[in-house]
Amino acid sequence: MKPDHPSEQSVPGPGGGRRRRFKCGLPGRGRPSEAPCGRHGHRGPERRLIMVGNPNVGKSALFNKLTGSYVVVSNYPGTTVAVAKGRMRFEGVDYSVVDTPGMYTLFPITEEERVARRILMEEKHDVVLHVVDAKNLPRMLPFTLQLIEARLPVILVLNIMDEAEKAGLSFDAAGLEKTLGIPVVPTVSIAGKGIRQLKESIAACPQPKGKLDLDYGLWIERVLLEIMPHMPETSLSRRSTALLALQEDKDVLNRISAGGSDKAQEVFSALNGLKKRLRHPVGYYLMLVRRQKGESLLRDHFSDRGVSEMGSSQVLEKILLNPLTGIPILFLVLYFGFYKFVGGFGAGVVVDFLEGHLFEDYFVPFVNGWTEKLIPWPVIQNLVAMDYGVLTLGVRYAVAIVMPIVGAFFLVFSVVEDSGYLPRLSLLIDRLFKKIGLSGRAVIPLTLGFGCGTMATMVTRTLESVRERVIATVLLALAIPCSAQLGVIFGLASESPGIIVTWVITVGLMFFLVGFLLARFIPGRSPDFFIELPPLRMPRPVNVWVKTSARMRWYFLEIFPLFLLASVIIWIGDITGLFGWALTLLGYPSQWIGLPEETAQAFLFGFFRRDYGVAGLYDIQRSTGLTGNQLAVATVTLTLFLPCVAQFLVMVKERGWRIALAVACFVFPFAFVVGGALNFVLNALGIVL
Amino acid sequence: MIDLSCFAEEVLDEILEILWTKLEEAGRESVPAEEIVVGSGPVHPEALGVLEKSGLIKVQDGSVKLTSAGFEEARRTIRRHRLSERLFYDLFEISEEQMENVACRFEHILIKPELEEKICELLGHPRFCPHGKAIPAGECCDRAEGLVDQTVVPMSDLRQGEAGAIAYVQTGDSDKLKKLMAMGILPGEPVNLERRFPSFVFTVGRTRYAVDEEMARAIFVRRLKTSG
Repeated sequence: MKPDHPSEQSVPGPGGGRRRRFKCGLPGRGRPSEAPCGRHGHRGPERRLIMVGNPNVGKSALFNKLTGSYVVVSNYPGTTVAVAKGRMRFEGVDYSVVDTPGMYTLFPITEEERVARRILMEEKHDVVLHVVDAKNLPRMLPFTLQLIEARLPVILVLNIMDEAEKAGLSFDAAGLEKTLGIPVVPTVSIAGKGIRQLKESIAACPQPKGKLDLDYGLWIERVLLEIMPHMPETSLSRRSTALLALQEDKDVLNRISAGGSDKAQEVFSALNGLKKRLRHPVGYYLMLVRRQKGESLLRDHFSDRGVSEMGSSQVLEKILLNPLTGIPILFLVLYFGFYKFVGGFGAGVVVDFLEGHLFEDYFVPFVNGWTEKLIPWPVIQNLVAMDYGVLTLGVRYAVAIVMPIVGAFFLVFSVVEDSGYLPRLSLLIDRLFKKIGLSGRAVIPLTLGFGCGTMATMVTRTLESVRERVIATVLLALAIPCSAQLGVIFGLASESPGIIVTWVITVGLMFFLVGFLLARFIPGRSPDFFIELPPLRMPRPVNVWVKTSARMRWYFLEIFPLFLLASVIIWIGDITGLFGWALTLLGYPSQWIGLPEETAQAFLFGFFRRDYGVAGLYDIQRSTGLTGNQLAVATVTLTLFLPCVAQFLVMVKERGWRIALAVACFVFPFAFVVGGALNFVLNALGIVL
Repeated sequence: MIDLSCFAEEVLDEILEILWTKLEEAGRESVPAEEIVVGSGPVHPEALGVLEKSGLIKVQDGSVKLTSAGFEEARRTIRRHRLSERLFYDLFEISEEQMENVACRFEHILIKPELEEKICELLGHPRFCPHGKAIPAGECCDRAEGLVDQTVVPMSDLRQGEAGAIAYVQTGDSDKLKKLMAMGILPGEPVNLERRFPSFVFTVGRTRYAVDEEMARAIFVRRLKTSG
């Protein structure tokens, strides 16, 4: 995401010259001894505030409290991908507030950390809020020290104080403030405690006092002195930038190279000399020094003589993590959460109301009527309304069918996510997922795939390696049915549990088989798995609401247009006769796997409306009548068949044309091959469903 | 006044160093005596005789080999020599010509193992001399790595419920290491392994983590001593 650059504004002064803003603090109560706030920021009328910190510290909730705007509050790494921006106004001063993805240290590892660091390094900010989980202060203080070392205007925010105090930790915020030389504010962001004090600290324009210089040892210090003059200009101090260069930070090294080859030469030779001398990577020593310094600074101001977490949460933890009990619980969650709520309520009640009633009885006839009146040409009429129109198909599908299902899904997902269950689920299945080239983290996009495959494909970007992303994308396109499709399949096969069982077994088998093969043949390393497990918490309605609505908003902005695009494509296909041609073509493989010719229509339409494809089977069932076996074969093939056109378009967007087409070319014949094989096996074994 | 003992020792040390370079580093079987050049000319056979009497070398048909005791002694000499080079080159930035002279004398001061260790630690257990040749590791280097310590094991070897302190993190894969360090998994931190299966779940301080087996193998833990 490209952060937009502030528009520089300098204030015209009397006599035509330009006057810098020196007002700082509360209006009318300027403190002459205080340095101007504008010195570290850009010279605009608005002050710039940025929030940094680990994931899981309640940064987003704090952002919410400061700006009042909606943002995804998530405790699973990688979910808050986009950078959130908002506005704040306090005592007559405007602030722009930026919330960054989780960062543990100034040296970035993941793509998101790189983005966060880039914002910090390339743009000037007036205030930097370092938000930490109070009970983990010793572990997080090294980052604060780095920020101070970088001469940034930092405020240390000790969030989630309530849990820390409950656990028996004690803090001396005032003393810590004196020792560190920066403001230290305890808060409980979800309850709104300490927010006022925080705002006042922000308004008071913190200036880095820079009392804390860390000594990294003789050799590192000497090399620092050598290379510091060659460092590029950034918002961080020279020393800080040089430390990053020592750790071979790509962005910094690129900028050094851009600054001239002889400078770069000197820096690189100094780096190499250092590397030869040290046994461990530079970052190791830096971390140790910071840790030690942090501990000594905290000695008088922080004590952790608290109780270890006992009782019910430990028991629950044991139950969840033990596979023997954990997996059955997973199935319970799946059953009640997804099958009953999303399927029963969402796909049933709400869809019936929206499509069956609202759309069918009111919207569609209304639109059709007006279209006929206003547009004389039938061709255009068909584009806008009628059977395949943008309004009557695209909008109807997106709003009346997919949205309620996806909405219900997001609701359940957000509840599960807020409770902290998701990371535990991921660690349960990590071992299994490793066999198909994925890590436990892939549980998020794959589970989302059961809601909406299009959205899930987009979420694959949170996976760390290209290999993982490709494997997940293929599996999503192949073997994971979206909730629209699931609902209809279960409806169709409800009379015959045998069909459902066959479907589950076949599709499940294909999922693991293809995943396993992909893992073997796609080059690349096996993914690492390491996550922080946030404490189990009761999901809070506010959080759930915020998360769900943020996802719904995202859905409308990104996915909805794709459905409209799909109707246009269908319209083109219809008027050019491509449809008819495609139908005839698809008729052949359908017959080869033992299905009547009419099922070709279901396949074709399955590409455009996944559930419509399966629902098409209903009609065939009623008219021509499919045998149980044929139904099983048809549903399996349809599931494995191409994903809906929206998902295909997202695949193109995320993975590129080549991979998307490759996937399509693989999935298409594969689905029929499996269908045919299933047909054969069923007949050979004499099974009648 | 020339210090005769030093002179003699210096020559002996130089012979050992040459032998080490040619036998251990170049991988040769033995070295013809003519090749051993000390100062301006080939080595004096008396010097070789002294070494042979001390049981450090064996001379056969004009070719010289190091005994196992000789290897040890040569190794230590090379170590001291190169550590001295490192010290003077890095700390005092002397030129190469001066370095040979000074380092050669200084290495005898380092004969005391405590001093040698202290200097090695000060220099950060360096791996290479200024010429790029390997500095043989000493006990202090191994201890810094925890290699000698029997109670340091990879986390993947701990049993469920065992506690300890992080000793160090294997530095092979830099990305993994950086991530672990960034998350606070650093030497000295107390750690408690809660479960091994299906993933390794452990607590460091007040935070709970989960990692896969490969990462657990990279985290080395010093077991808590059971009270005895």
